[in-house]
Amino acid sequence: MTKRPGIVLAPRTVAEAMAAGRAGAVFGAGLTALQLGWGEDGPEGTVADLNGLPGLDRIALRGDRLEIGALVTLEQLRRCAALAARWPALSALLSQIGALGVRNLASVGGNIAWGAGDLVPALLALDARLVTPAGSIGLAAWPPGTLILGVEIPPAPAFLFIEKVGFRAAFSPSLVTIAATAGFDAAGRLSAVRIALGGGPNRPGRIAAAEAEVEGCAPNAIAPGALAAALAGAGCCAEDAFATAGHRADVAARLLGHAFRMAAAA
Amino acid sequence: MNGPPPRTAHDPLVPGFRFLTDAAAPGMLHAAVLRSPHPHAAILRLDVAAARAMPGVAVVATAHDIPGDKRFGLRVADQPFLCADRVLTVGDPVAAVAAETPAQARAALAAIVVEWQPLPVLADAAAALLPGAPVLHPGGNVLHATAYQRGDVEAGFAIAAHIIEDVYETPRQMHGFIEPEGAVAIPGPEGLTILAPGHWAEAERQVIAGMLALDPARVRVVASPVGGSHGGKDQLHAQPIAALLAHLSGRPVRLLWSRGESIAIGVKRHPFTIRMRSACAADGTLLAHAVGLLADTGAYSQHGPEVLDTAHENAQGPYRWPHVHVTGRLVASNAGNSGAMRGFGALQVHTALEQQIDRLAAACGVAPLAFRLQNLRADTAPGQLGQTLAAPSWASLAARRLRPPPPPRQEGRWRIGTGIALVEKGEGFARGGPNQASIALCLTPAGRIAVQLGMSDLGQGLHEAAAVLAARRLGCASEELEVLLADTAETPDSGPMAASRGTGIVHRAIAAAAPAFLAALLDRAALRLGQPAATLRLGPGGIWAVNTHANAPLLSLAALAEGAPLRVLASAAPIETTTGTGAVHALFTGCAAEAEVAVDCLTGRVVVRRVRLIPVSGEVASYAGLRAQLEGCASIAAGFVTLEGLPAPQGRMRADNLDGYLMPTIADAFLLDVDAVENIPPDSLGPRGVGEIGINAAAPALCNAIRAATGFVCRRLPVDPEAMLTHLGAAP
Repeated sequence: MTKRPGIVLAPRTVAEAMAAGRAGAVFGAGLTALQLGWGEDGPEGTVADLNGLPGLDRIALRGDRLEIGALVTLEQLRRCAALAARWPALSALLSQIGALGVRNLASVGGNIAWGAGDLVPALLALDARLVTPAGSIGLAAWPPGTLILGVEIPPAPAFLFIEKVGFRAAFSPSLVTIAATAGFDAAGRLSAVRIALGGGPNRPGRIAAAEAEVEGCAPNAIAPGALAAALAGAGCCAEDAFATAGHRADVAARLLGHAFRMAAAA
Repeated sequence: MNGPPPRTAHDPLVPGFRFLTDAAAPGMLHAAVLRSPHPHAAILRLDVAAARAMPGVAVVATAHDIPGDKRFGLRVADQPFLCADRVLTVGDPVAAVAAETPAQARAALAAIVVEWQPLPVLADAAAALLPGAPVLHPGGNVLHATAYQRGDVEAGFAIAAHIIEDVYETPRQMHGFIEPEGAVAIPGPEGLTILAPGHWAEAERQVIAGMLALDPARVRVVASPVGGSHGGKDQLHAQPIAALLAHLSGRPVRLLWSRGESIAIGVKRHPFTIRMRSACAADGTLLAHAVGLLADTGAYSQHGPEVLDTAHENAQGPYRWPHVHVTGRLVASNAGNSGAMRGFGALQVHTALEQQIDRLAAACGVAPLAFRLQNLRADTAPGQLGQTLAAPSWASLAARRLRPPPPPRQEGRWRIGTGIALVEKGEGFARGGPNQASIALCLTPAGRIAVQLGMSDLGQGLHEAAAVLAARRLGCASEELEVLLADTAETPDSGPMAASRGTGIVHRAIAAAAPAFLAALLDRAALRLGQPAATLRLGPGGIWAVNTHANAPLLSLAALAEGAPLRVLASAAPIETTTGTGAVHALFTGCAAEAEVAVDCLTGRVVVRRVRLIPVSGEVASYAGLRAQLEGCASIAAGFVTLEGLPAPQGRMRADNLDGYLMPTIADAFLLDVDAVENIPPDSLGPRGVGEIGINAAAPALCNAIRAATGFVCRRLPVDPEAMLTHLGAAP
């Protein structure tokens, strides 16, 4: 009954990592999420430790765009001055992910690849692109399980809202993580709205119905009930032991409506 | 062998600190326990033959291998050390293995064959009371019941202007200590030594000796220091099975519970359902109070009878009620084990009662503080169940420091509200409990003064309190003292470290021992120095002459220590009363609290902003210790009200790790003001314990703050953000 001990590979190049992946290895960096699924004897399958890949632990501001290597840790990104100056809501989100000890290990690439990471809805709303061995692709088009080399964040929008709602002040699972970007037209109406939701058990994704609900609206004219219905109707909100799907959608709608109104008032 | 940790290393923050179960011994085996996967099942067949033949396995034990007592318990011995024919909860132990390595022990568990017959599951106390429910214990599912009546409640309700009736539910709360349960058992020529965190080394020794049919003198238990307990290690946990395996194999055994085992089978705070019907006259005078208590104790009695008795005893609060009727039932279920946790029993009723008081005050238009002062029992009045008290709780002194809560207000998305509460709670045990406490004062051969006490330092600072109080009473320097706690080879039986009694016990026991000890020291010094003992005193560094300007002692303690050892044993008498009805305390501690919360109108989440605690502490042994205790209290209360709860649908705990059971973190910490009432009329009872009372006061103050902010009645704790949003209605 003793489990077969796991195998840890240490690829030194992207090609070696991809070969390991083709052979069935799971990619790992900080391992903060992966190890949750391990028993006392460690991993059962093969893990490819990506920490040996060169050059993926850097953050660079290129013009108005931010390029983040996949091995950049969440805490490293949280402390990035350029991020805090231009995308403060994203910087603030990072302080709500894990505890410091987790953020010091967990990688940006891992948070995205995990699927339940709080960065995903934020990056979807920001229209971020992933750098992969096959080139740059939209986040929504990323084939799960494949290698991520980095993330590119486009210039900061006029309006950026991100909030992770947890159950306590820090180090909390997500009830819902909600993100939105938008502009305002001359009449103060919302335009080019992007809304994404995720976090915890929720299926991360853009919510087209919610975007349509508020596009062209004056913020004070948004009907919270209709927005909540649009968010709930997308089926992204999950029910688990902590909360119902309806509550998650309701909270997301309240937060979005409030954020739009505050932005309009500012 | 590494043995027990050094006696000075009681503070986990001091380098060199080791948990008791870090001890290692040559040839030590590693234990693992086969536990029930079913909440309720019969064991049709248990075959350990294959496991015994597994590599590295030294011993496999079942109930049949226990030579002595098969069950244990505090008041009722109804919990099997190992289950033989039926399991009553997930995690109930049925067999145990000791092997050369942890992996071999786990592998052997997998080779044990058990044929189970699942039985109907009683998920909670209500299910266990239904007609036709399976019977879990020979005497039925009601393991304990209480009743108290004074006056005529129906007559009181008949003339009342306002009646508030409601049902309150409190959660199964977990202690969440850093060090999970565990034990190291080491057989030796002088018997069996058990190193395991616990509250009452002497009682643990007696139970283990009974299980192994050994003379208790052949069992030694070292139970301090403890890596956090909050009551969760107040009953035996890993010690019996570790002791059994060591006894059977003749080799040292380490048994550590995983966090998952700790969550499944470790004790939790009793979930309560509390029905209260409370009434007052139009002018706010309290008239009648009817209370029905239902407590879910899980599979076994554990501390359940004491918990229910405490709830029963505190259901009236510090108020005058002419007409009272209180009944309580403690019911067994298949939902884990409920047991001791700081503030037990009283906390549950305090959260219900203090909300009732606030709601009655609102109903008759009287401010909450004025309402309480108007209805406060006289300090010198008998206790809630008619008992004569050893001293007043002085709750009135705490109440008079309360400030009227400011009105609620809106700050952006937040609703801010402030609430107050006033409580009292028994210190030590009710009558018939282990209230006596012995202590020994010694002059060691090295010339140090040793305080030997059978209680444990749970992390709350008993070690420091004992050193400070002894130095104060004896007149020596605290750094000349060494404190030895909870080692049955050397310390006398002081009763359990529980029920907020530690500091008071130390004070009273030292007061009892000090005169004889000082007399013995000074008599010896008088002989050595050739001058009357009356001209000498104990001071820093040794024996000093009285009434001189000398700046050095006449005789050092080291010099005085030459010769025969000197040890004085004395006891603090129990503080009990023979008056009153049922299991009553004779000494209560009062405490008031103010709390401010912010309720997020967008998420429904409650954030604690500020708590002010006003315990009636009397003399303070250590201000740092007092504050640390109250910080812990306030945080546990905040978790109880806003966050923590471990539902067990169908008898299965919802979480198996701390990622599924959320407790407040340091980021949830809030401003805490401590305003202890130190000046109380003098008595001989010493400092009042504050290890629990802050929880009892803070939790209902938080509930009242939530209601003040939003109108939301905390019928069910912790507050569910979804229920709060539903209550708040449309977004602001």
